[in-house]
Amino acid sequence: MPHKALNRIVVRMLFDPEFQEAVYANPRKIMNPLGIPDDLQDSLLQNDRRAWNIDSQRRKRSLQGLMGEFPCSCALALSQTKQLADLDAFFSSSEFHKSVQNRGSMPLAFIQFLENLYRQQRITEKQYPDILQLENHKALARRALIQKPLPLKPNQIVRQQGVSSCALNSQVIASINLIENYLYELSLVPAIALCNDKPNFPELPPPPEDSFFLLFQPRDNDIGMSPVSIVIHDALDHLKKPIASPVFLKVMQQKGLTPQTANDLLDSLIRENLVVRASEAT
Amino acid sequence: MNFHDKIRKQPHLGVGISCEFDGGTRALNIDALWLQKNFPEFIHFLEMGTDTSRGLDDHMQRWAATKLPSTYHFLDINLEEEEDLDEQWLSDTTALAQAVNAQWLCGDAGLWHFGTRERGHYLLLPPILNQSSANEMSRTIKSIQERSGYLVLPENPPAPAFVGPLHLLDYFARVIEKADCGFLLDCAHLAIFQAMRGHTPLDGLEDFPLDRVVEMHIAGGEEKSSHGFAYIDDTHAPTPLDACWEIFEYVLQRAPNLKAIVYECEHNHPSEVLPVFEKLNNYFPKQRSNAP
Repeated sequence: MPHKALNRIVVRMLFDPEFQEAVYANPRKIMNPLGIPDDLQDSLLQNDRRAWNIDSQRRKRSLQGLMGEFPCSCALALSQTKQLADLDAFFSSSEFHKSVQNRGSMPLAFIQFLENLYRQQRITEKQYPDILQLENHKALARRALIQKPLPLKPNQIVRQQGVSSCALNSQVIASINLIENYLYELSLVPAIALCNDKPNFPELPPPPEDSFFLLFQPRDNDIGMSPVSIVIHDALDHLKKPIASPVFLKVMQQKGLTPQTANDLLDSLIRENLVVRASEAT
Repeated sequence: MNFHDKIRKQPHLGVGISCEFDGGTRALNIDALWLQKNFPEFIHFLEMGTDTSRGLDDHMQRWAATKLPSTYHFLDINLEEEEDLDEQWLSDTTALAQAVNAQWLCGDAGLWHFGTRERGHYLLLPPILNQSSANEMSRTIKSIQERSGYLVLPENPPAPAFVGPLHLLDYFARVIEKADCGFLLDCAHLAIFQAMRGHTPLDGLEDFPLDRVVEMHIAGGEEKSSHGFAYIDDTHAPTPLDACWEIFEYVLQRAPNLKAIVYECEHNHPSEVLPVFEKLNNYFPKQRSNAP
């Protein structure tokens, strides 16, 4: 459908003046591969290019929304780069453009963008990957909650929607608390950004060798977090996709659980609403 | 039942006012109940603008409790994208409309968000004005009408730039004919389109099926400039522009199925909008009504 591809070009132009320039300079190169016919391309270019830039706050508003979901990762990134432009650059990034053109999720594309900042060594703070991983899990869990339940065959079990777990260094929660306190303090008097005695970004504890497992699950209209054992983490990891419960029990026995313990584990996971059986999911 | 059968059963609502979810917490906001109580001769229904993620605010629920008429204005469906219409949106929207006893569903027809319905994806874009887009929009509207039981009125959206070879009115004429639905003509939005494309205010109206116009919006706008680019901003200021009145008066005389007029003015001081309410009621008196 050429109108859909063109709509997405328009969205990208609204967010990215550099992309606008490219479209006006080389329309065929950009739009031919998307199947947009020449007459539609020409009708786009008949508009005065200044019309796309009337809303001068669009990027900042959208960045505010994104930072609301990844507050600690973004604060940590800015504490290192010292330039809002480094996050604002998301709207000119390939992650953003691919996401819009493929009808994807902008927040999930933003996660990739934040991950790349670390890969490119723009951010070197050692706590950053785990803080981002934690906020990423919450973001994914929120979206899983509104997806249709996976279809289950009789006897199958699967992780409840919005439930996941991951391994993190044992200082990540302390680090997040420090950043959140810092952001809270700034929020009390935003104009403090103008002052010489504004609070400094906190020094974060270095990630120790040891790690722990954090469980994410729906709670109070959002995603709650609590520490879990490696056994539960392993169990939930095996239940990302539906499997027959006897298969799951066998896997857990191969990991060293007795048949009775494996059964008890499954019962408790279901009781605590972390795992769902076929009849409950349908 | 076709459009003409359905429209015969719809009441004449008269002149109303609009509101958006939690509008009163973001700006000066006229309380529709206060206005209706103090100036019952001016306001006869409330158009509630909301979406499925936020639902109904206190203002909307208080109005619904009075049993006075209302209409439901969606802010979260891309009529131009069939895949945006899912079962959840449909059932949630229908439930909200039923909760306020809405007469019909209406809203800007184009894109309310890019991509999936996601936080941060909000943006209002007009449709691409070509045949494939008109076909797709008509299928989405038809599907909502069939599955919800509600009449759906697509509204021409505002924008400083439009893309596609068709005139906006030609585009919507194709949509409403294929979807067999009514139309919400926003006079201020049309005035913006005509100015942006270098047309006169009434261009294209002569050939438009005005018997499909069920509702009209009228609102003030402001001529602005951005980096030397002159455009009309749909500010909902108290005073409609001359072009907006010209369109309104032309259509009013030629739209036999017109049931409702919304003056979009809720963020102004009541004293600034009462003269326009009086004028609109003179144009379109409630006395023609068979509504409660």
